[in-house]
Amino acid sequence: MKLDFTSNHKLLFGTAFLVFFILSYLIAIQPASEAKKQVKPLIESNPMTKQQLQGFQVYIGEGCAYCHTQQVRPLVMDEGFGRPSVPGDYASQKPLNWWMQTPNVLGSERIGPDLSNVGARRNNEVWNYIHLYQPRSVVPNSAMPAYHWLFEKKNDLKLNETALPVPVKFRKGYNYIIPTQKAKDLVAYILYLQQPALSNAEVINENARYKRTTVRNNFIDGINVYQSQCAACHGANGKAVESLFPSLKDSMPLSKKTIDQKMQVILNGITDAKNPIRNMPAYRQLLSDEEIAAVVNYMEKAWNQKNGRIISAEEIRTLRMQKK
Amino acid sequence: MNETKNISINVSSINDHPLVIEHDATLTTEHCDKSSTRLILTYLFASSIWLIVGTLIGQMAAIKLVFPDFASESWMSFGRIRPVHTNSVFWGWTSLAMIGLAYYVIPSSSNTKIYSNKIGWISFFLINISVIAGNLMLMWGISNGSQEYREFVWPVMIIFMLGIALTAYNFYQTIAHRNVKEIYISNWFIMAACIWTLTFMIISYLPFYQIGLGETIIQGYYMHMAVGMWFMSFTLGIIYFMLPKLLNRPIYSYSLGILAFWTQLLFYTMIGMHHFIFSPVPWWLQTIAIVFSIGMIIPVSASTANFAFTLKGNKRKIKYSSGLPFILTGVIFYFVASFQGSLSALRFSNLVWHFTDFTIAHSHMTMYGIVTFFLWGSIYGLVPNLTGRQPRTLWVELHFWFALTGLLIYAVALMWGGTERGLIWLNGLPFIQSVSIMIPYWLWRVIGGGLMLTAHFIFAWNLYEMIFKSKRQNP
Repeated sequence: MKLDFTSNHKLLFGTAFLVFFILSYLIAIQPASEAKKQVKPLIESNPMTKQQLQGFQVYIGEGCAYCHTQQVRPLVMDEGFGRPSVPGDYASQKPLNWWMQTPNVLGSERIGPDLSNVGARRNNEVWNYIHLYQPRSVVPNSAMPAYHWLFEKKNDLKLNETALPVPVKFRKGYNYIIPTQKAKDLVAYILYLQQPALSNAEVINENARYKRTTVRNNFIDGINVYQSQCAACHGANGKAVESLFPSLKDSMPLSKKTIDQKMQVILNGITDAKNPIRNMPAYRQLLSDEEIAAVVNYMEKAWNQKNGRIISAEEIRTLRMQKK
Repeated sequence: MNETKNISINVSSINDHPLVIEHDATLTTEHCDKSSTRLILTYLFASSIWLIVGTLIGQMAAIKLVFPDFASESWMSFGRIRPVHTNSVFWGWTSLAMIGLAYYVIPSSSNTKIYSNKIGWISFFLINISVIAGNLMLMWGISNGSQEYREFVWPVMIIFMLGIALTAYNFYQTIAHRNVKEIYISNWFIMAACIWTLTFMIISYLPFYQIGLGETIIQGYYMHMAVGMWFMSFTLGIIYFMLPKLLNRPIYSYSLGILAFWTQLLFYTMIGMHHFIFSPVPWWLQTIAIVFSIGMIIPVSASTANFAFTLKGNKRKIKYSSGLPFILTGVIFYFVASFQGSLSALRFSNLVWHFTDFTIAHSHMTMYGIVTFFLWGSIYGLVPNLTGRQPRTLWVELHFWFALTGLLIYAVALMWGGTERGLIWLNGLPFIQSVSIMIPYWLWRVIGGGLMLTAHFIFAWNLYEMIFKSKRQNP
């Protein structure tokens, strides 16, 4: 039989369909089924609680993933966002209900930073509320929308309500700003976003998958570490916006602390259940010895010249070993 | 008596802009009876409204990046309206305009009447209902997830798919009842685009294998099938008909068209994963996508050469036509932007440009520079023949120049800014710095977008004049 595509429409369109379907099967359906079968959730990971799941729904509905990726690439420039993402990180993603599909969190654009590990980096829930309510009240150059509809704005407070310490000029004339249930759920989800550590087997599996390009940056600039990790709370120039969080420049309480005490705080963070606005991440998991040394030296040099001692990475390494 | 008549003609032609010669019209409309003409014009007019809605929303989103606290209602927030913009211009403007034009191209090239006008009307309503419902839900905060162009939940998208299925059936029956032996190459592209689209949409909305990274693999596939197998294939089909018709000469090479068709199918289907380079999806899938992205140079070159040689030596005709300058621009963008797309897939390019606005510039150079310009050219070429009224030359030129200038400003600003952004990340500088430096470029984007939006109002007005004032002049 002669294959006459130009005058046999059944043959032409039948072939076009068949070829397309076979290719689609090979390039999409088969790898997707394979990914579903092979990948298990990471050993160290926890399933989302009901509240975190509801927060995830808010995250999807508000379209957060258009500007925030959740995929850390195995590249030097992505190091600040966490360890490289692995298939297991996404293994538990499934449809939220019967009329929706599995949401995509990997994203395709980074107008804002990657959020894979944001719960570890920004573990202060009060900061998260204020930042959601009006990002520019803590990060002046932020381009993020102000999610004020996730908050109640009112002039009188009920007995069991706690208002957020939003700076007056961002309150739009109201006395009190209170997070709604949706805001609480969303923040619960944001704090949930912490990359679980990989088990040994998982690390080996990962290394087999591709050649890593991850090499720690040799040259670490303290100001870059400060601006990326610390400025969101303590202010770009060491002066916290509206004094919500401690200023590092010209601050009385801080000037009494020794450099060793400061290094301890940076390494181990602050956990204060009664007064959550004081919470600070433990940077031992987030930064290398070199980075911590660089940022300490930067801060000391910029705002507190009394000490004059240069901290080395070895010193941080010793401190890290000493105490948890 | 004769003299007064002459004067009055002169006066009216002065009103219609005397400096430019009236545009020509060469298309035959014997295959369009009154009711199918009405169907085509309805599709086209509705599409122009979606274009305005879609760009108004897009402009709003662009403004919000520069002034984040502008119009800060929840249903107008960036995260909710960004998908409204993309879905409106995709499923509203582009899809309706393409289908409307195909209702002319398919019967004309098959030398028969359309199989059923009624099916055309039903699918028109289905598509519009789904886009309206989907957009309202997005503004309400109900989204499938931020998977691009797949934000409508399936109960909404199934209405759209039904519309496409009916359209496909209608086209297939028309082609099956053709009164010529051979199926013209346009119909290869258009009919196949409908079949491919139904296939990839069903594959991408079935949930069984979309757990965890399985979803991401399908998303990469879906996103690129939507642009490549629906919009690009369909518009190429339209241009393979409209370009030779408007020039009144045959297409340069039929075989090149066939080569383009098969290579489009073989290569384009494989490139979806190039949106997830360096992501945790299997490395070999990413590599395949890169290899075939480079392979795309073959179908792109084949069609570009075909169009370019068909256009060659017809400077005069291009100059005196309202549609051809748009198509010529589309051909240039087809080559440039597709080539850019192939190169952007490389791992090296991803180091600098992935996740930056460079990608947004690229998507506008393709969906706007190629597809939208092709559609405008075809609409200006076709509609005067259906209604008997030419658009005003000056206004067509204004439309053209506003759109082209706007697009160039938009694309150059975002490519430049995106590059700077990528370099900031590569150099390990603080993230917020990569936000601050974008502000001037985002402002240029608003300016470019404003010009594009103006062009769309002019286009809608031109279309309105061509359709509704048809009685003022004889064909």
